[in-house]
Amino acid sequence: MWLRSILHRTRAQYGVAACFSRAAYKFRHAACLSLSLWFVAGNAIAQQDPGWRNYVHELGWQIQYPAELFSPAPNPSGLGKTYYNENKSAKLVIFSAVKTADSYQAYQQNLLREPRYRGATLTQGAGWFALSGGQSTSRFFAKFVFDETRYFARAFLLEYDQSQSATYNPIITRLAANFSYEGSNWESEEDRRIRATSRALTISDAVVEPQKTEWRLYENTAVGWALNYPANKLFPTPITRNPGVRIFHSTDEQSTFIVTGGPSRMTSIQDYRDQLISHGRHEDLKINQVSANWFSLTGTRGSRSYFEKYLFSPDASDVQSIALEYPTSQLNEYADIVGKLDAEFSIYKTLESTGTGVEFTTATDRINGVTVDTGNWQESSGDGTLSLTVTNNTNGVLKSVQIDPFRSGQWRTVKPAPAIYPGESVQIEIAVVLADDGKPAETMHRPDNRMEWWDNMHRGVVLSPFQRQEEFKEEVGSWLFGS
Amino acid sequence: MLVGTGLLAPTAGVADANQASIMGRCDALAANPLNPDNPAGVEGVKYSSIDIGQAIPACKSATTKYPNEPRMHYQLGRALDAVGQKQLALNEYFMAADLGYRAALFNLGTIYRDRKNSPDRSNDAASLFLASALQGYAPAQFNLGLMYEKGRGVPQNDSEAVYWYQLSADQGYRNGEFNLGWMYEKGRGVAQSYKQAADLYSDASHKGHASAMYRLGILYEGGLGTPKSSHEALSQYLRAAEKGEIRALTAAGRLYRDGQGANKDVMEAAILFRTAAASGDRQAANLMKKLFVNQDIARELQRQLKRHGFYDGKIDGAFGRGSQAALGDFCQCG
Repeated sequence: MWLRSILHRTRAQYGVAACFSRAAYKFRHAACLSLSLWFVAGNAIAQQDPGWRNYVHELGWQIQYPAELFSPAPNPSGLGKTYYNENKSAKLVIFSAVKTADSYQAYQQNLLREPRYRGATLTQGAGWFALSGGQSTSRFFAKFVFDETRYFARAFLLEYDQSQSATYNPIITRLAANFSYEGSNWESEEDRRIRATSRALTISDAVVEPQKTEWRLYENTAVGWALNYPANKLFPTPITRNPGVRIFHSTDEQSTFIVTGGPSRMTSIQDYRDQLISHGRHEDLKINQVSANWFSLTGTRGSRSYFEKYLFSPDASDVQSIALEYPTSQLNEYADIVGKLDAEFSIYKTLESTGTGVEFTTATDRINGVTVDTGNWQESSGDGTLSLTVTNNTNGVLKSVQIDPFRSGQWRTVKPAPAIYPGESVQIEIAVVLADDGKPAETMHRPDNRMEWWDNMHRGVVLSPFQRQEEFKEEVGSWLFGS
Repeated sequence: MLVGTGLLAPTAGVADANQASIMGRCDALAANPLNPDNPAGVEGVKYSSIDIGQAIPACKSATTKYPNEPRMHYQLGRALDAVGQKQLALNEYFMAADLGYRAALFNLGTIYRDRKNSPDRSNDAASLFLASALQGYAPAQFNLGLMYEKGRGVPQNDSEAVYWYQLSADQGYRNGEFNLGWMYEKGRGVAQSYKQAADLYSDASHKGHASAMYRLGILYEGGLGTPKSSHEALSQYLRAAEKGEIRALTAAGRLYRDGQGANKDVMEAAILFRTAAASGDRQAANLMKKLFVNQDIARELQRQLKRHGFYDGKIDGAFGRGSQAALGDFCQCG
């Protein structure tokens, strides 16, 4: 989801962000640096990616929160979870609030009488209300969303110091804008299957009839670029080992679309083209167009047609490419697609400067895209239970991950059931045997705060391909692709 | 049209029967016997008696088939709770509570109130009790009153406590009647009235509330809000003692010792004191010690023990270790 937040930034902001990125890390472009400094000064955190991540509540709803800004406080699970920023000057509470009145209207009035919300400004709409205000220098914003027939409202509360408004106002805007009762519903595995199946049926039925091509934006943050692709004809396959490559297939797997990006490793466009053709894959090359910073290749390969286009950065050091191959019998169907791809894919542009263009730079890709967050701790009668949140930021389905919660060398293999789908977070529980002093027996470490000596130790991530019918989940806009 | 009606009606009937059968199985295996919202004819099963092997699959099947039936989620939660699957149970309780099932809201409240080794969640517990209490669930009204009385999760407020106790008492909830009686007896949150207290204790004691029997005995013994009657007091103490109210054993022993409400019987007094003391009642231990140092009483005890063949020492009024061991053998009471 954070990808979309990048997408929504203004062009001016991109420019500054890109400048700043180059200036900060490569120590060049002094002009960019000076431009960046004024912009970043009061708004630094808001301009960084706050790492939006799903938190799934036990009651079966979800909300996206800025995981890079907040760390969870150890507290029992259930009605809510509390997060603090680094210096504990801001607090985010995500919680279910039980309706302690005959109606949500009455409940809202009760809240306004509570000391915490007294004097708050109330805004409301159908199925939601928000309270905002503050005392002295502290500020708060809370939004409650509800279904009148249900007893638990869903809510978040963000408290912060007034001096941090520049940081947290955009966060509040984003949190509030994306938070509605229906929008926060969490699909069960069964629901997802039913919906995916019905979608698949709808699509496959529709494919029989001529249909309008539906274009969607594909973003590749690994190499920093984006393009529109025919989303109801070609579907992305799991991400490959090389993050600069993404492959799409049609439902019958007869058509393939490959998008790549990375360093060209050639001194000129001509050399690159010659090298490419020398591989012998283009023997029936029919059209060979060349321009100042791009070239395209069109032809046939047996019973199939191909269209390839290569677009170079101004200094020709980086290249982006698209390669579409489809049955020649479907030439009419693909002619428009080829035309649109050719027209759109003609200007070299990047989302952000990414150095060599092949490395992941986001924090969420630390270990194969899987992260494990501290959760809650409970213990009773000699046994302890550690609840952890596992988040799958990969493009595959997370089947298994090994976790060593206390860095004791005792790895446990966790196989979440059901498996964790891309973009999802789930809570898992690990049983821990306690020593006589009430601390885990498996480690010699004995600091007072258990949660402080636990730091994302995991490995052995096992992913499986993300089946096509499951990928329709993307169409509700919760994951990688923008609309 | 007639044909259509004729075809549809049996089909609908079959669906209803199926639903009744699937849900009925879960009801039979995991319903809470104390849940006033059970369908007619459902007796319920205590936690300790839940047949987990059958109840969990039956209730899982029911929740899958009828996900909007909160009673099925609640009962699946009970079954999972019984097998120790606390987290899964919590999830099911949540689902039932979200659908407004008052017993589930109440259960969640007790879970949050009683959580150990974790930060205090009394505030959440009070909210859950309130949500259930507003639906007229008497145990939740009582628990909310208790939270107010103790100041747990809510600001301490005797008047609020009385309000919620009263609501639960109005429904005949014996715990509510007893606690409301206590508030009347002590004049907390309400004008002091022994009469009201005695009436409420009486109602609760008729429903088997041991503490209410004990307190009612005290009121009878002192003639507070009732006619003074040691006999009635002793009767209440003994009823309460049968229900396990330790303090009532001591009080009854006191009356036997002094010959109030019954003929004087030091052996009965000694046995009652010893039984209560063995259960940790300090007052009983003190009273027993005083009983034994009274030489007249000690001689009487030794005589009776000898007569029953449990004591073969001297009748000297020194109730030492030998005499106390004989008493223990005689009464098998601690």
